[in-house]
Amino acid sequence: MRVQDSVRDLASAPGGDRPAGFRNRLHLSKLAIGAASVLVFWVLCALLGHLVVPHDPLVVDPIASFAPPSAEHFFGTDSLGRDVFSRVIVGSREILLVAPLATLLGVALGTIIGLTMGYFRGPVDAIVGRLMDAVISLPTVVVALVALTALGPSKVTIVLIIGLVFSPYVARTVRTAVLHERELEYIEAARIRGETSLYIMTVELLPNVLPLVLVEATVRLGYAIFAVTTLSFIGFGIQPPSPDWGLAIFEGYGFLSAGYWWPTLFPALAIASLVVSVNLLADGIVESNER
Amino acid sequence: MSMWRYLLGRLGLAVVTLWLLSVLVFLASQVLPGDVGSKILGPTADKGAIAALNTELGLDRPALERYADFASELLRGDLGESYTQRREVGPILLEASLKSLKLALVAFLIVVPLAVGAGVYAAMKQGKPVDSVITTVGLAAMVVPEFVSGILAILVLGLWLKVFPITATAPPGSGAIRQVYHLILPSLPLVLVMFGYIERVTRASTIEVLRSDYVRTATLKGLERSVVIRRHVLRNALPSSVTVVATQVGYLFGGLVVIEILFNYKGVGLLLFNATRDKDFPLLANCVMAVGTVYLIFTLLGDLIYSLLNPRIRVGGGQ
Repeated sequence: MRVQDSVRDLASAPGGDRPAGFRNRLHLSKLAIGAASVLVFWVLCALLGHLVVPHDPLVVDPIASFAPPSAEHFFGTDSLGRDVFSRVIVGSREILLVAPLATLLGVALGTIIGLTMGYFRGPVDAIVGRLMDAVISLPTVVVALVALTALGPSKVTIVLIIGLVFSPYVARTVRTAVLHERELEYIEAARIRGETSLYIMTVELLPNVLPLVLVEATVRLGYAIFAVTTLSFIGFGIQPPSPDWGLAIFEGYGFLSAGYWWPTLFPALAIASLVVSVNLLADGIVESNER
Repeated sequence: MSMWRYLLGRLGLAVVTLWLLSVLVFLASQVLPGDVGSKILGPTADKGAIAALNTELGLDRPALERYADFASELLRGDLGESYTQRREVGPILLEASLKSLKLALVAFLIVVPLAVGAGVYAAMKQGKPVDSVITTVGLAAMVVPEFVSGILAILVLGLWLKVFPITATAPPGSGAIRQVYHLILPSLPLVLVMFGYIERVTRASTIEVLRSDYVRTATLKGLERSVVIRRHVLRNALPSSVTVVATQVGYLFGGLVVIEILFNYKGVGLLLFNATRDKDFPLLANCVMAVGTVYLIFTLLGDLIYSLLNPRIRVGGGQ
């Protein structure tokens, strides 16, 4: 036991040919910090927004439909007379629940697949690789559209489908890293010690590809928000009467040419601010990691 | 010689991928819930009539048998008949594809020169404020969903400034220029999404080339800047851009679905969307296969152009 531990210590000693991880603390640019604060704002809205909004985001008032922005309704009201400002604030909740969960599933699944493919190589790698190519050759929205018709749109199915569709992208990244790692001495040492494949994959390889997995996760989160809002916009995502932004645009864009722009513009700006900030932050993390 | 072997290998992989895609498409449509017969005839229809229609459409046979039919028809180019439109799928798909192609073409004609130009320019100004502005704007444009930028474009450029018409389809009998004019607003979101990808790749490969010894030699032997850029930098940086442009064609379809819904433009994206909504299996399966095939063809094309432009693969000396 002691000998094995010291072999591992030797292998994982700093300065060896380990992969680039989060070597130092995260160094973010000003832009990335600005992006992070926008993200924090939306997370706070998702958590506490319902306590501070001036109106109930779900209460319908047909007489007050399409009221333009005013002191009473900052962003006006929508076709059903619901307060757009309150709906935009609370509307961050479901996207910030569904997208991260889908990302988590995709990253976990992709990491398992990537570790397996990279470690075993050979036929497993070839067969799974082709299957993944087939999935990747279709745009996410198309795959999700077909699958959601089959399973019916709900938060659970969206998480499952986006997670499944994203796993090949993550697996590809992890596989490449594992192919490099598995040739290094610490893996050979583990093999000589007689460790099982499962042990080598989880205890030896996983911690060393983890930084890469985390970077991939931040990038994937951006795509997940993109995909989930898009699905909501085409009616296959989050369902009414949720104040979700994509759904609000789906419900409101038909009234644009009638001059009622406020129920659509504000959720659109909210989506834009969220996706841009998540991606700028992800970009900052990638850069900081590469430095 | 070795280039052809490389391309043949890629072609073989593409064929395998296509076959797997057909299996996935078939499986996905097998689990489509609901009764196709009752979907077409409506919920109040007679049970016997529904069963008869299902038999007529062959939906009561074993799945494996139906896959065999599906695959062999696909190979023979017989795409079957749409359940809802009761017409051959081939002509429907062709008609819609041409419309989508027009939209995509307008988007590409705008984005390719713009993004390649911006990428090369940003690379030459590397580290300066212009560079970070172009790159940040590119990233932001790339990640905003198409329907969001589409909505903003409709509002600002279409309804408020009235620069472009908000209907994608020009009135019947309009000339080519008028048709393109109507397609500018719908193509804008696609342009924004693709701009970031193409700009980033072009910038990265241009920077790599600018650092190379042969560019330094060319500069030191006194060649003019513009000649160095044209003869040495562009020729070596462009293959990467070409490859990324080719892969973008496939991903473009995701955007096309959304844009065609937003603008009610009757291309493949809207066709696919309506087919999922109506559970029109032959139409749906063929739309998805068409999207996958186009993606694979363009990926192959990207490989081909890349290897033609890249001497290391062309002569087969490289690894």
